[in-house]
Amino acid sequence: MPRTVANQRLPRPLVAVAAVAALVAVIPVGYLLVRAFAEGGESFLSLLERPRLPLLIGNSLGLAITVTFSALAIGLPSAFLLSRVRIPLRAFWMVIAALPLAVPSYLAAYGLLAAFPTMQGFAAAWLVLTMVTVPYITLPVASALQSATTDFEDVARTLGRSPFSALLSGSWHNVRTPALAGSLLVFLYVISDFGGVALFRFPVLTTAIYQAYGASYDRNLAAVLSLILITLAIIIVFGERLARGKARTRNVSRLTVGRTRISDLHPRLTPLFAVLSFPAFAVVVIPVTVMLLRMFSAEALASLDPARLWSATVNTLILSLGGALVAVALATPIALLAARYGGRLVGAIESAGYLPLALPGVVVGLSLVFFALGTAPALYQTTFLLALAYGFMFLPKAIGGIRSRVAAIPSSLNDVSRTLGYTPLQSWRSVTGPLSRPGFLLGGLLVMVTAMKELPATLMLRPTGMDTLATLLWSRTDVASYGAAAPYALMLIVLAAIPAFLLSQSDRRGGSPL
Amino acid sequence: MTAFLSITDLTVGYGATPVLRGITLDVSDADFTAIVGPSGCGKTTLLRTIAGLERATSGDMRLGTQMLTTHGIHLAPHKRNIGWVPQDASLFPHLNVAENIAFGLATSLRRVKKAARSNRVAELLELVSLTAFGLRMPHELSGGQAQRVALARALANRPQLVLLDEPFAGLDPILRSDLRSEVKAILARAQTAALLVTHDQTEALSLASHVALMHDGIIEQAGSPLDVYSSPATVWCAEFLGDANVLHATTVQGESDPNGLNGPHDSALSALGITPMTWMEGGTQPVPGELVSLMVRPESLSLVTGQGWRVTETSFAGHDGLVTLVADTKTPLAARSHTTVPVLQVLVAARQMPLIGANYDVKLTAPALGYAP
Repeated sequence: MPRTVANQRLPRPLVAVAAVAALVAVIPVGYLLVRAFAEGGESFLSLLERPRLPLLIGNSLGLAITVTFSALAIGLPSAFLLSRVRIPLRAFWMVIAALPLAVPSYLAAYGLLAAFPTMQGFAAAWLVLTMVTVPYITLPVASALQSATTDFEDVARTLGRSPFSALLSGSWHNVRTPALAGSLLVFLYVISDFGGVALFRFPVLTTAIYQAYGASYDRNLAAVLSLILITLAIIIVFGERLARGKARTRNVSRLTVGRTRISDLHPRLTPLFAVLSFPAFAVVVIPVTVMLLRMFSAEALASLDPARLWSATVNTLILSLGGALVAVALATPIALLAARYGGRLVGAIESAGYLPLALPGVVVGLSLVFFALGTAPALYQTTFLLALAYGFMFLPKAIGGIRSRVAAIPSSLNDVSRTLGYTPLQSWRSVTGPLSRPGFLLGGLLVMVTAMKELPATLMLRPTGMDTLATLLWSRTDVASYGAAAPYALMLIVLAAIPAFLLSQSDRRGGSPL
Repeated sequence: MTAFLSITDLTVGYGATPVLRGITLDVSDADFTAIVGPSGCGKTTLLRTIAGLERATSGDMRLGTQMLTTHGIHLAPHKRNIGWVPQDASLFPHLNVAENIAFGLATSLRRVKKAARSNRVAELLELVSLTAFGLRMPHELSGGQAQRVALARALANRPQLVLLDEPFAGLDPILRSDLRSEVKAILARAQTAALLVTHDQTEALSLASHVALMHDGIIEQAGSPLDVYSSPATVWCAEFLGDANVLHATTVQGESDPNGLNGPHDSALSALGITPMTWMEGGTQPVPGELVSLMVRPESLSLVTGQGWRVTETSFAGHDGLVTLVADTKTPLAARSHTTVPVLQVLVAARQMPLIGANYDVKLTAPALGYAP
């Protein structure tokens, strides 16, 4: 039972370490600000008057909004089918629903381009990003519907509502929070996406930042565009908080009260299976099939370089592991503090830790370039800096994994060990530490799996000559040599699938002791 | 009785309404003390403060010869050697029963696992009658077994005092009463003083040798179970510990004590007529004609033939039953002057349960207790 007593004291050493970790997470943005205003206000304003700017902002926002709505349109009915209808092979359909998560947007875009070389522009980007982001809606909404009671629906039915209207009125308050949170993730995914939109040649803020940085070396323009992008992201994050409002605290603890009724599969619901499986079909089945076909063409096999594939695989693993270590190290004090204590200071530290959610990879890459060049040029284009970038970008995933696990450990266990003669440190080593280990593993694996697929920051920060699977894939797609890129793409999918498999296993076992 | 745990003027929490306000309590080392109060009265906070898990804002606390809290200096919980049994047992889910019990015998998991095979752990398993359960994991135990393991774990280090935080609250009623007597026996065998916190009056009265009544962050009354039940210090105490009739009354000129009972005596006029009254509040006796509240337990009343009261409700509880009566309006009584119709509850034996609508008179079999209105 979490107790809030008036004189609860924050442990000072933990607060200090967590505050330092949060500050480290904020440094890149600070540097970006400095950089954007470096030439004085006038130049900042003149950059804002560039004619292409409204177009870029409009494209980014338009794409993000349309994708969010289409992802909701596919995700909500899919979630309903998975959670409230008795369907055969439910576990299989769950995997189908989650499958698009394994495929980064640029990989899906590349696979589709290999199959349909004429795809491009807004429609193509919209299609691919929708299919890739649908799981962000489907999975949390399905899990909320699964644990939520259907009693309200039944009450609504007895009060004269039709089944559909009863479903809406009875379950909306349970779906609202996960649907909003999922929409936020979709929106942030789309405005941060670089690879997918770039392949379809659809001009948005991220691609413009990359161009300004890479092609023209106009770094001030890149910094200004980044600030605009971050501003959009932060507005959306706060908008979601406002919209979520009190719903978050009101119903959480009562989700499991009451019964959850599962209906039988009505023939009229069968079209929902098509809705559920279309994303996986579009961004996993088609691209992988095409890649496999291309790979075994004579020309592609001839150009396959096993040594290069091997070294890229090793680089990818080392870098993502480094990123995971950085993220877990920064996340640990923040997550421990946030899981056990409340109040303004703790809230501020935790929010700083979640800030990277609103930081697109291009922006983190750019700000770390500025940071390294400004403070320690020796760090520029080192493996360490790239691992640091991964650590920053995916810090929220590590915090989430650790925090939820530590918060699930009753604080009375720690209290008991204190009364049994254990100092706070001994209590940590014997109780909280061992019990929260799965959380660290989960957080680390989540970071690793995401870092492997990261593209824009990797392109900007990698040491010269060092290739990862993602960058090799990218350089092959540039010259439209689809067959040559296929091995890297397939290796990336396989590599990302291993931690994902471990995650699902640890999840299954992790539930038992608590 | 020398006080073993001595708490003086303890305040916990800040602001206008601290959680605990000026708690003073003495516990002797032979005692099984119960702190009883409604939920939210601060009793769990008091327990946690004694264990050192919360900090007092002011006041002193001493255990034996050791100061726990004085002048804003607090002894860390791990240096107090006070056992604590939390409400939900809180067994360590990653350790088996023997390792849970051995937890306090070492300060690292490696040594705990070694200590789990020691004689002391075997002894404790026997003490709580769980000899065969040493290798079970906590999730394989029933609620009562888990509480017994938690108790053994708290006793392992031979603490000077064991704190029990509503240990029986989550259990079903039959198991609860079994476990109560078992825990009492275990603590007696271990010769350890215990402080129990509960919201269940029956539990406190039946288990403890010393009861402290807590209400809104202060201790209203402390004493033996018989004392606090039969001589409640305030109307709140009377109503919290059991059923109580509280009547408006006016004191009248004292007559000679008709029942020969002791105590400061006077008489009062209420819906029951003129009855002897024992004045419970400190200070001066009320002068004749003063308004007071009169408290009578339902078991201090009995039904006799008459017309003054009409039965409106009966609630049958097996061995006995509670009868609710209202003053019959046809009968003129001095108490008519009050705006509300007086209501009485009377405890009667099962075979004497009256019919609803029947009329009786009510007789007082013990003196009524008087309080300031």
